Amino acid sequence: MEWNDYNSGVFFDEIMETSSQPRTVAKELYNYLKSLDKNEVLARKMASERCIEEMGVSFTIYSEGNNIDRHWPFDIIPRPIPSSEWKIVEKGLIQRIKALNMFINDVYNDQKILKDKLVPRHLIEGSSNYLKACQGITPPHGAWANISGTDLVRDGDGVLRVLEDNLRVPSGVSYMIENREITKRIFPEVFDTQCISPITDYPIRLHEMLASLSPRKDVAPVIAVLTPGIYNSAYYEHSFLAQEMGAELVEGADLFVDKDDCVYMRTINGPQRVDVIYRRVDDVFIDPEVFNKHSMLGVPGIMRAWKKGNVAISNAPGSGVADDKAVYAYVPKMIKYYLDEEAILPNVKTYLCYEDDDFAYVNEHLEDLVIKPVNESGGYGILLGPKATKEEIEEFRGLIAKNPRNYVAQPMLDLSTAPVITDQGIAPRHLDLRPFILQGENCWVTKGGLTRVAMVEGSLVVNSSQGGGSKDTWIVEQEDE
Amino acid sequence: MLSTSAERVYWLGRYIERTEDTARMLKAFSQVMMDIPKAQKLDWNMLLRILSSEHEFNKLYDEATEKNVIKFLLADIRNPSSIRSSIKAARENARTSRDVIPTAAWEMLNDLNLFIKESVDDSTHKRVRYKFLTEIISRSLQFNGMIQNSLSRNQAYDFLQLGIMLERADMTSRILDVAAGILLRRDSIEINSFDMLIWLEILKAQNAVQMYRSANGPKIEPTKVLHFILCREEFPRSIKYCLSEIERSASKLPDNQDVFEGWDLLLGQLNSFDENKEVSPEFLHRYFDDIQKGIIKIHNRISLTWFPKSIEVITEQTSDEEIDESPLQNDEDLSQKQTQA
Repeated sequence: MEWNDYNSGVFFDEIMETSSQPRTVAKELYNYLKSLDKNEVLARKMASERCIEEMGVSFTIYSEGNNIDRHWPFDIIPRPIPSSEWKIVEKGLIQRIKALNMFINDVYNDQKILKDKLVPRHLIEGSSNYLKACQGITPPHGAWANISGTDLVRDGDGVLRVLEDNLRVPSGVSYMIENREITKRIFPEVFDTQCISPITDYPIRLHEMLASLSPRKDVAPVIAVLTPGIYNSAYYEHSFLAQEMGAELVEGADLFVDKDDCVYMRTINGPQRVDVIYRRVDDVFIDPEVFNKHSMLGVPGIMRAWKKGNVAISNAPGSGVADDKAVYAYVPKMIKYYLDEEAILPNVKTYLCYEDDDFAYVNEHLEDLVIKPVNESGGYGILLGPKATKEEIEEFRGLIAKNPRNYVAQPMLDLSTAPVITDQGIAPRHLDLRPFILQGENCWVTKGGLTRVAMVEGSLVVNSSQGGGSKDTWIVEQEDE
Repeated sequence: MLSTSAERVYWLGRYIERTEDTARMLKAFSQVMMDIPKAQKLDWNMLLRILSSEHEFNKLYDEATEKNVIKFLLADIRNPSSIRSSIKAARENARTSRDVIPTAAWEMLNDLNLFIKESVDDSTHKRVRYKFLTEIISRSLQFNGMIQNSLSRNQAYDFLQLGIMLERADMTSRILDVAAGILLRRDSIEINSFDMLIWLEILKAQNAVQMYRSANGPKIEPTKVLHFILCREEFPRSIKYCLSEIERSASKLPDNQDVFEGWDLLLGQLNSFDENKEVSPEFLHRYFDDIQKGIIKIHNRISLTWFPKSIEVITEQTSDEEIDESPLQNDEDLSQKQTQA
């Protein structure tokens, strides 16, 4: 396959150091890909598509009221990361999730960080993600966000930065595992000569973590994955994880809370007590007695059971308070405050629109900035200043002025690129990386994560709900290390 | 049913099962090797040990490289237990039992034989291997499904089942024996996270991962894996299940006392796994030795009770070149042990 005209321009490329020289970590991969002719590459691309269909890897997107089940978009060229670099990233992620969990526990209990005025009180108590119902609670091991999927991006200087902490119900881990499975089938040869960390143990780690939360220590815990149902965009993943863990896949109606304030599932053998619920349902739908009265997805009384410590819910309700793009800006300070350490992984510069100086700056530079609503996810409701029309910019100017608490602004990032196979040949596309971090009794990080890639030239939007694709991510052990 | 027909159908069962099980094993082994870093990769020789064909292999090849071992086990017609030879032998036994097996099943077998013959040379190529092995497994399953759904529960069915189940028990115990021997014998310093991947792959080779996990949770523990594949009664690829199927078939056949004697013995040996508190490599070595002997004993009893008495003569005359002509290709390894017994 020809690489001659490959040029990632000013961006940091994950594979190519210059347009003709691969990075050390990608050397073998590059040589291998180069040894395949164009037809061979296309044949493997087709094989990967076939493989995805056979494995039934799909995701659902909502479009104009319809649900469309789509095959998982996958680019066959893997994205390699040196293991020496990953060791640092792992440390940084563990440090960050520890501080975040201490923060969540703090704001629902003593509120020390608010009293010390490190984080403004209005930011927390005014947040729709701050759930009063959770006050006074400390979940097992003080861990609220048990499963997080932190989004990392690499900037123009090659520095990995945290873009978002996804602490609510992050998805994508099943695709990370399936991506490796696909690569093994279409490029089996590359595993002979390289040391690529295996990733299949995630479900085991997840199960261990969930089991460590169980209120009953004397019996093998009963673990259930609570899904909103078959129309949810991540339903594939819910069933995948339940199956891999040997856990029950349940919907709200399969569970009930009895007079003893314990949660039970309805089985053909009668009620069976559930110890740990890995919920993939948003906070506000989880218990119609406490939150959204009309929710059909939740379990009435489940919050009661949780508060009494009769069931573990993962992630704990209310964890979302720290998953807010304004709170995000304070994470480096939290790390210093709770752990007395410097943040290992840097943030992206963030302007908080409710701060007067920041507001003024944002107002003047709307055309250069990315504007994000603090509580949205999935890439919805974002303004990309440099690519927006005049009307769109004015619309956002109005929105920010009306509710400054609701918006943050960040500079346009020079996201790194990696080669992708397109109809026109190999071309650079922007990407990010979502590793998954588990925190129960212990803390653990996946080897790599899910690499998401914008399939449209120049685009920075990697979300699969908006047409993004994905790549297999390799943590490569190099011999001379 | 004629003794000769009974014997052919029995071997048909054994060879079709051997084809499937060998394909499963090669697939699992190839997969797990991709996850293990270079320095810790397993020896391809391990596959030869499982199939007791090291001696045979060394006569034909210099070195146990991936390429040679795969070629030997997949494609080499000189190896009587290669996939290519097994399916050929299955077909020969079916060809001479067409009066008792459904025509559609015979056609499927022909088709599978043809498929393997035509694509076996490419299949040693790494990238097509996965697909090729998957295809063999699924076609073997298709044959099995056809038998299950269209063959009357007559004596032909019973002998076919005896062959399938005994072969399955045999292959499974061989895999566990060698794998456990290697994995559990290592010093604890050597034990690493990759062992877990190997155990996982052993389960995968039995299609047992999901069932194991719903019974034990996701954690892969060697003792639990062994217990599941050996003694889990509900799981249709466990040795325990094979034994109960053998009992079911044998109980319908006449003069079965001798076979049941062997059966009782093997069941006792199998159950001793649970009575043993500590699963040490030494225990396992003796244990699998007993299981293997038990399986051979049942085979011998089956053959002495129901098959033509001249069996040993036929076995010894069978040579590689004559495979096509002989209605029966007997299992070399077993027959060797048989004469020792």
